[in-house]
Amino acid sequence: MQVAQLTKILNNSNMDARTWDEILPIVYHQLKSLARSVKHQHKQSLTLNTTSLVHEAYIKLGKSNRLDINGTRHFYQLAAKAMRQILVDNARAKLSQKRTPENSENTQENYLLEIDNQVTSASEIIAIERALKKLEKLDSKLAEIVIYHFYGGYTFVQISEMLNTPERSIMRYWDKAKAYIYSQLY
Amino acid sequence: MTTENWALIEEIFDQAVNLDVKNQLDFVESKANGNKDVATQVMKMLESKNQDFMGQFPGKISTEHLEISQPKTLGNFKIIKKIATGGMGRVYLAESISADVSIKVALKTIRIELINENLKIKFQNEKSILSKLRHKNIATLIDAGVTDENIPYIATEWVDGENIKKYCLENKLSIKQRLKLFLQICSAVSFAHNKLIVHRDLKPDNILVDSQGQVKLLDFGIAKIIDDNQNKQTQTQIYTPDYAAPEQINGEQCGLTTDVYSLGVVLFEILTNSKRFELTDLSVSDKIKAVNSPTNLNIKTLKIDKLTPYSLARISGVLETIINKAMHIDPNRRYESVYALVSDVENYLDKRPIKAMKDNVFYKAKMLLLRNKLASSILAFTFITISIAIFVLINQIRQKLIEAQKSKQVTEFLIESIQASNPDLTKGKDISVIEFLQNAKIRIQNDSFDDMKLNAILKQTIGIALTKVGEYKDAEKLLLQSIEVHQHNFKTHISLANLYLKQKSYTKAKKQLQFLRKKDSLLTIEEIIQVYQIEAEIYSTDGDFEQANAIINAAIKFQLEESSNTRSLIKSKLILATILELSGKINEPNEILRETLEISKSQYGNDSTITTEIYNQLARTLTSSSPVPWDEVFNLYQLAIKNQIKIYGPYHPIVAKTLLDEGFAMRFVGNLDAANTNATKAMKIALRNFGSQHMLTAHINFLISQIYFSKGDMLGAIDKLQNVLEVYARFYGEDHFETNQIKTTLAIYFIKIKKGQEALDILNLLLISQKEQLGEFNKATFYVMMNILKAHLLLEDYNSNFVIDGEATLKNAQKHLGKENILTIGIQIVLAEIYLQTQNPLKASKLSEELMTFDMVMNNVNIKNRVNEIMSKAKMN
Repeated sequence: MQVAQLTKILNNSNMDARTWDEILPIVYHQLKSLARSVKHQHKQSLTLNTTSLVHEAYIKLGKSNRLDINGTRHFYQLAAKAMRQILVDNARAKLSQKRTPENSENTQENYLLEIDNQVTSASEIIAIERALKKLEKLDSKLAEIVIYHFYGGYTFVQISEMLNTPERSIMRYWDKAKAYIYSQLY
Repeated sequence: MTTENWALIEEIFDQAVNLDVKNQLDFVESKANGNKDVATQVMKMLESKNQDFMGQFPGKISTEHLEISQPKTLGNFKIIKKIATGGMGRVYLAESISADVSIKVALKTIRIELINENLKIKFQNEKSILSKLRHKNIATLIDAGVTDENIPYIATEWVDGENIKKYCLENKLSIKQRLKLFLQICSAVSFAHNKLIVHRDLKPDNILVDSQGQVKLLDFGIAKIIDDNQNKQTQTQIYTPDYAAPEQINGEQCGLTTDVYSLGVVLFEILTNSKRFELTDLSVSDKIKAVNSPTNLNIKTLKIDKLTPYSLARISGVLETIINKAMHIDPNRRYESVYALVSDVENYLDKRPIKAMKDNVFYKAKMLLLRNKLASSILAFTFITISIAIFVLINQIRQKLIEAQKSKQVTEFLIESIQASNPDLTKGKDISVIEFLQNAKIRIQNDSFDDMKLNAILKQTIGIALTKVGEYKDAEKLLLQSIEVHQHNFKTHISLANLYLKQKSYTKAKKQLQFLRKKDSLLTIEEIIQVYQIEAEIYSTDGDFEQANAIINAAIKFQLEESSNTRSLIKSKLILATILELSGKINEPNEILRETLEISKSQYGNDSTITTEIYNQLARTLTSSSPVPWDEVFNLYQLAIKNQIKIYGPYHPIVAKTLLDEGFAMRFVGNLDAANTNATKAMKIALRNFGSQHMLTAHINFLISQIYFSKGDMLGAIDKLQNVLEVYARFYGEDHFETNQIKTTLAIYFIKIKKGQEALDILNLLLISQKEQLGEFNKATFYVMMNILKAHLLLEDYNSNFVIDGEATLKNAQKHLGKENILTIGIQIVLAEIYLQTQNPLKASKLSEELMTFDMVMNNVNIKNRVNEIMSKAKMN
């Protein structure tokens, strides 16, 4: 798909579920290749958090194509979803690699964006994912906040602008969502 | 959770979250209006409030995997090759360019983001301090600075040596030699401390031993340079979590005792060749939790390397005390200096009492036990057993509680429990382990521990101990109480499952496992395997061998692929052998056991606990092969008993169990005297440890009863069997299947000595119970009915109802078991005899004639003779 097409889709104010599913892989790859190029540019080692990565991806996309307000909002929403996908994939790869260490060769790709084990372990990510799936069924709004804040790394202010909802409510939703996931894990 | 519930949960949560913690429970319960699921869910959610959970992004971009082109020179050094990439930066082997003689150095570059503007000045300052740190056990600093390209570097003396842990392992050093190396480390650290330089990152990787056996410490003071200059936002740790003291991880003030802590970890690791904490898979918050409260480490503490020549047992005691004091969570309670640590290690080497013991409660406990042992040698046996029990307990608890305040509470509690069981205080009354544990149980239920968690751990430990000695009811109570506090404790759940398995309460056992399975993403591989193993045992004792077989094979496959824990793999194979044996296979279990025995012998030695366990099991399974290789069986039993006495001492219950097994085999081959000797020995142990009302005692009585039976002493046999019955009834319950089997045997014994009424009293009750439990047409029920008929025959009680009953029984047996079933034939013979006695020779003869057409009858001389006899008697009439 051409980037121009992607922009057009993103700028559309009414996106249905199917469209989301269609363009998620594009953003997913976009983020991955961006992560790769960021790594090559910075020869010295560095730690970059997910938000800056998403932001860089946005700038790159925005440079050649104009994303309007809707497009920007959609892009950030989508990026967080992609980030979730990448990290969950990584966690799975990491756990299966643990079982069969011989296959470590082909997982280079997965480590471009690595799970920060210091913060959350791979098995925790899988467990969180499982809880998040359940939460999506119970209350998709809460689940969305988790995706934006936890995976996208967006601040409550950013999320409140994105969803046009008061910041206090976002914080309340986050607390509740986090509490639910916690209850499923511990 | 239904969506409908969720709305209610959300509503209650939204309101409760703003309340004071202490009011939450009442509020939630009143709002939930009796819906327990909802209340539990909300409370669980509220718990998350103050947890550090999902607080940070889970991802980062790391460049560690990318190869970076290697610079040729750095400052005044020519790079020869890259040695390593670590958390701080890279390490190169390099050569000095400027010096006349080329000096080899270890050149460290520091990661750029760890550094800020002041670094150059700071480096110069530190350089002058560190270069004065000249000690034979410290790698000397040669140069430090920042290159023109702004790359900071540190150059130290190049040490051609090996990591100390590896060195100890490869050279197979003795404990003494290891301690001597450790003293060299301490000497270097102590020297630096006198100059007020703290290492802050002591770990085996930073401690090398060169070819002369000289220890060299690397990276002195480097952590500090970087730490002081650290940009706090990068959150990069300079220390290594596995070796860092709690105050370091918590970001608090570090001092000289921070190094003492790390020295404790190093000492532990070089002695055991294993890791003190296995933290690599944990998240930062979990690491902090783990190091601050080792109680949370129950999953991953103490993974002892199987190759280590020194088991934890060997370093336990004095050395363990030294390590624990060095690693005390509270810096003020550690050795106040490296010097103090050194002098205790030297005390140990010179066999002098160590200082750490002085005010140590454990030491007191040991002394107390020792004194008692000597004071009353008659009671010594019992006391040895108790002292073993109590030290096992203390050690189990201590592994979980390193925090002294808590472990002190626990120890004092246990000491008081012994004192209550102390012969001096109990006026010379002999006490057993069970009494001791019961005592502890009562005390823990009455004592108020202010720390709920501690209370839960104690309950768990005593619960497990009670399970081991067969006091299941009390064990269950304690474990359930423990789990109320410690809801997700793996060990408590698995212990409960094990307990229910032993009680044959399969549904309850499965429920515990189901709970664990739900959490399987949070379990370790070994824990998952444990769940599988116990599940297989449950199905197999429940008689579902197919399912049991499938589960244990899955576990074995999983273990072969994913785990290197041989001991646990052997355990799975032993379970598999048992399942196969129970399902009637003869050769397969023996083959598996023989193969496992070889592995175990080569890995763990001929007299290890695990090898001994296999001797025991192999001996048992061999008795069901045909022909039985009796010489081998007895040989194996002898080996097992010899080892067990060596490992556990002569008065341990496990010895009694093996003596008992051997005794059954001896009786079977007709060696009644030897069987009797075994039974007597076993009984002595059982009575000492458990008293007369224990299952082990009952099993021994069962053997004795069989010996009497073989000798023809029926009254003796009955007497013992009544004793067995009493214990079974108490243990399993009056109507339990196992109890009923003993009752049936007892009734048959009565019939044998022609006491029809006694037999009938038992059998009539038995019939009611078995009809209820097993149904009217179950084999066991028919067996009881047949014996009832026999008892009536004995009593010459032939009223018409009785004949009708007999006819109905035969008809039902023919219908449900088949005509040629051995039991049906038995009933038919008894009925024929009844016809004879009730003057109905025609019917008797008809039944016997039919019997003669069955292969089963014709092929069995005894039965054939009996039927022939009936036939001729019938014809005579």
